[in-house]
Amino acid sequence: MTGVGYDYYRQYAPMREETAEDVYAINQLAGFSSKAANSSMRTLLPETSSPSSETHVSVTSIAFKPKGPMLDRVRSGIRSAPAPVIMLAAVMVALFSNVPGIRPENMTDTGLVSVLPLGWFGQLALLIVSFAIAMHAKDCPPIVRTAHIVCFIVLIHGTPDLVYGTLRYSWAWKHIGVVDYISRTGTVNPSASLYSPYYNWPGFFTLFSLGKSFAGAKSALAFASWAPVYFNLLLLAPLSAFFGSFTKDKRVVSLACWLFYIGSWIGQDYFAPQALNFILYIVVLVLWLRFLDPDLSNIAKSTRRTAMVIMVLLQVAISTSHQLTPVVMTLALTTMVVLRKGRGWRVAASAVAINAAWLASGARTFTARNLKSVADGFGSVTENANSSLSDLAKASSGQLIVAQMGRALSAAMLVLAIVGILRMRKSKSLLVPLALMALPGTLLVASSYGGEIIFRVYLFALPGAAFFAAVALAPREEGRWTLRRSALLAGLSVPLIGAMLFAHYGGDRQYHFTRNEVSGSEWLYSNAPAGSLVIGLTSNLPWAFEHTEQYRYRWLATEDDPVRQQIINDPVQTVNDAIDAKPVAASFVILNRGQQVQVEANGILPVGAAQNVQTKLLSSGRFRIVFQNADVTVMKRESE
Amino acid sequence: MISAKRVTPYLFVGLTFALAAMGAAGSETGLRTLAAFAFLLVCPGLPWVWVLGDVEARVAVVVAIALSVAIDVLLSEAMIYLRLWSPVWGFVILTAIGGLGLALGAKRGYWDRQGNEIRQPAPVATAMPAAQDER
Repeated sequence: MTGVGYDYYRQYAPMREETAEDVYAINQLAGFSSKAANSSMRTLLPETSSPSSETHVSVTSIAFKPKGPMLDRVRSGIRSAPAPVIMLAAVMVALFSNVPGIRPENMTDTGLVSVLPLGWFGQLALLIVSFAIAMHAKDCPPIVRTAHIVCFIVLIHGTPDLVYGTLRYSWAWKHIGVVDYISRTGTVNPSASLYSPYYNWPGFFTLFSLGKSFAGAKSALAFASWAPVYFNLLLLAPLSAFFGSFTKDKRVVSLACWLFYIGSWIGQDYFAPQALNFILYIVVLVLWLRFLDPDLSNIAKSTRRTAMVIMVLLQVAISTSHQLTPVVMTLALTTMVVLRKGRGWRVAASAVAINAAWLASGARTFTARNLKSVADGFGSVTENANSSLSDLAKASSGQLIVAQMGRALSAAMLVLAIVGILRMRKSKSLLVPLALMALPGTLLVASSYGGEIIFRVYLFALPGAAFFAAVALAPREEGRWTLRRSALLAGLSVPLIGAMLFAHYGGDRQYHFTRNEVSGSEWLYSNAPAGSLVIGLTSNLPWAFEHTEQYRYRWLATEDDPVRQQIINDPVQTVNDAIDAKPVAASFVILNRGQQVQVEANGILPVGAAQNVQTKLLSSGRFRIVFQNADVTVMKRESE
Repeated sequence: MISAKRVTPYLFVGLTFALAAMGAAGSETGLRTLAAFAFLLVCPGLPWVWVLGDVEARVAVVVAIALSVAIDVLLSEAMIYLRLWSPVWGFVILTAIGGLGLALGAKRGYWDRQGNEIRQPAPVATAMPAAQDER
């Protein structure tokens, strides 16, 4: 491949045209001698060809792969790269051995990192070094590198689940409630304002309602807390196939996956529609790249049509399951068709049609309600972007570090991606991944997406960025992976992963819930009659996870002024006003550890204000405690 | 060696029967949860992968899972919007969809073929004997 630079990145893996060199290399890998491999190469080359010529022979690459049973590949891995296999095995054997010693109650404002023991970091360091050595090892099979990435995913995303033992993120608890509603009633409720997006795009929830019934589980809590682990694992194969569409260098594919998971700090992989739909989105791109790209000459017409049918099925599933993913998918497909003059224009057109049809039918309630606000936000790029960024002036010092780590990691990924782009600047294969990386940025023009748009832009841009970052770190010539380069990779992975740990785990002091907090919420829903009003400072508690249709909520500290100011100055009157605003069956005030941490860490209320609310309510003599433990207090008005 | 293709029918039948048996027994274990999601991720879509021909194994796995999820989503939504919500019928329909794919694939002899050795191209036939002679 010498001399062709990164143009070989455009050689597609499935059914692609193989060069004579590829056949030589693959035959060597398959265990044939150099002479035999040379012989086979000679049969493919014209008399005048040099080994570096780009002579193409129509063959399927898959036919040459020395595939065997998994055990054979593992044995081959141990033989060819014993050091990383042994180091990986050591990490896996002791994977969660440090977890029992972790005390989440001692966590500071920098999140889970503040209580992780040295042994846990030691495991991670060993994994980084092992992966770097696996990248260097000459004949290391890709499965060994993949196993490192799997181990990384399980360690990073499994640790919080084992440490907390409860579902993270208050909004994920709401998703449990939607699954509960659907599986209990067999319907959706598009006009329920609190859950409007979920019931207007219900695919994710109907799927998990079916799964909950199949599993015989009482609640989706039985499988929701491990969602970050299984969604990330499910993403690995599509992601690998996606990167494999731009390069046949398997090291670059592994490295791009590794960098993707390091860069993925924004926590969009929990039990939520976007996590599943992001996977489906990547699969749609893979299908386009593997079956519809015009460079692929050996795909039968019938196979292309079949791939298109599958893509349309996926589009329907995506368009009915999530608001934003179909928009990005439509943009991506249209851009690829324009850039590559691909045959897939029908698929791009169907994406537009399906999305429009769903907005006008299944999601018409949401569309009608929100069209004006979307139109108002259109074009306000700066406002949309800024709405996602936390106000660091109000944040605690720990949260300041966390926010800066997230920004630094994003910036580092961008810088690495730019280096990769520059290295590929003369390649005709630059355009598609570059477009896939850049076009999610156009979403900033459209909407603030409830203050989350910049995170979603980052998520959709990350696959392209990770690929370019991998190109930046990979040698120009496939297989020339020196020990020095591995040292560079390990050295670079350490600060990147360090930033990732702060950015990803940094909010956990407020995002996780203790078993006491869960007990408090369970008591509330067991005892509050239908039609009750639940009042708190913020919604940062396990809430709405059952009988969602029976309760109303008010979160006073997140309401606009003057309510937010009044809760500081006169909490008793503010809560009384909230209760008397509308007739309700009963009203409960719930204050928990999570709310207090959130209002203080994010600067929503002054430090001590949350405790002051509870003290003043109780000392007024007008409220009494109906449930209390170390982390939750539930109060009721005396007159009720 | 048993190829991935040959495993597919056994995987489909095994998962379907395991889930049906655990459901009938009223099991509430983590094993049933695993079987339920393995069924949803594999059974509706994997038996239809043959429609794409002989693709790279990685792509076949990706398509099988994504197709399964898409079928699950569309079926569950259809049951909701048609007000015909029934997990039991959902299970029956998903099994029927997968079973049909399996039967049509079997009719074409797809499940009997070796994994990736089909469509062996001519250049390999030239190269392989030379390599074997060398040995």
